[in-house]
Amino acid sequence: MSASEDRQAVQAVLAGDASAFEGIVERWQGPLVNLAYRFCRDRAQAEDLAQDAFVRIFRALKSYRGEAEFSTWLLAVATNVYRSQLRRMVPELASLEQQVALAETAAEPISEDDREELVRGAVKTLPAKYREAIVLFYFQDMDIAKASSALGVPSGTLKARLFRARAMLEARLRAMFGALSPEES
Amino acid sequence: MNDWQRILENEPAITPSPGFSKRVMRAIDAEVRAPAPIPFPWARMGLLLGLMSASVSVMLIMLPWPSVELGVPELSTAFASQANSLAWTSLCVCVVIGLARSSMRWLTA
Repeated sequence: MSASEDRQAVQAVLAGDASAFEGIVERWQGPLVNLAYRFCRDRAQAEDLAQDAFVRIFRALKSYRGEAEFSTWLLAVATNVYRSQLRRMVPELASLEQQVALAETAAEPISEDDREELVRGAVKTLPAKYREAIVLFYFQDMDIAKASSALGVPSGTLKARLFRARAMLEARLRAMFGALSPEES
Repeated sequence: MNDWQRILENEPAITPSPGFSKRVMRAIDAEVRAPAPIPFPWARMGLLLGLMSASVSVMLIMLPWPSVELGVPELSTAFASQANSLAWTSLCVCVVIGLARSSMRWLTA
């Protein structure tokens, strides 16, 4: 991902060449679709969300002052789009209960793939602000600074949310199949 | 690190469908072609408000309020006593709007 290519594309778009935005789409479609997928866990919905995010980014380019890195700004805009659209989603508690029941009644040990799916599904059941913190922090090696600026919250707030989110997630996973620590797996 | 953290960090990436970028660019083209939203007519609203204030001022100053009967004698007296200050208030609003508009023009010139 080249920052200078992004800068040039932004300047070209602002100068009136909308087709230059295609370069930004080509470079960022992967990260934006993947980030959306981590929020919603549905491929088609992830692409719809990412498309909305690109349109919003295009509209907002005029307000990009270049103070933050383009990647940080772009992820912040996209995150806002995903958050506002997905906040309406009710956490899938029913599905979590089904998963717990499935895990409890399973006669055979759960496969690695199923276990990974259960962990990712458990993130989706967290309340929105904790889900957002977890999704962003574990996305593409984001650090606290980047994740907090993408979420628009101070880093202290993000740390507190991450702490709480991890505790909730561990409690839920323990309820499903005991602690998922490497010693036990 | 806990196992679940490893799972979240190492989640395999999905690839956008082949036509995704074209679809996005079609949406961008539609965005570019869409007519710009019609701005709220603040200038006209200011003018209208100014005209209204001016007419109220003129009406209040010109009309002989003590001779106007509003039906209720107390109301007539109260209105007559306030009419003068109301007129000056309206005139002030009018002047302020006029000054604001002319200074805006001066700033944007």
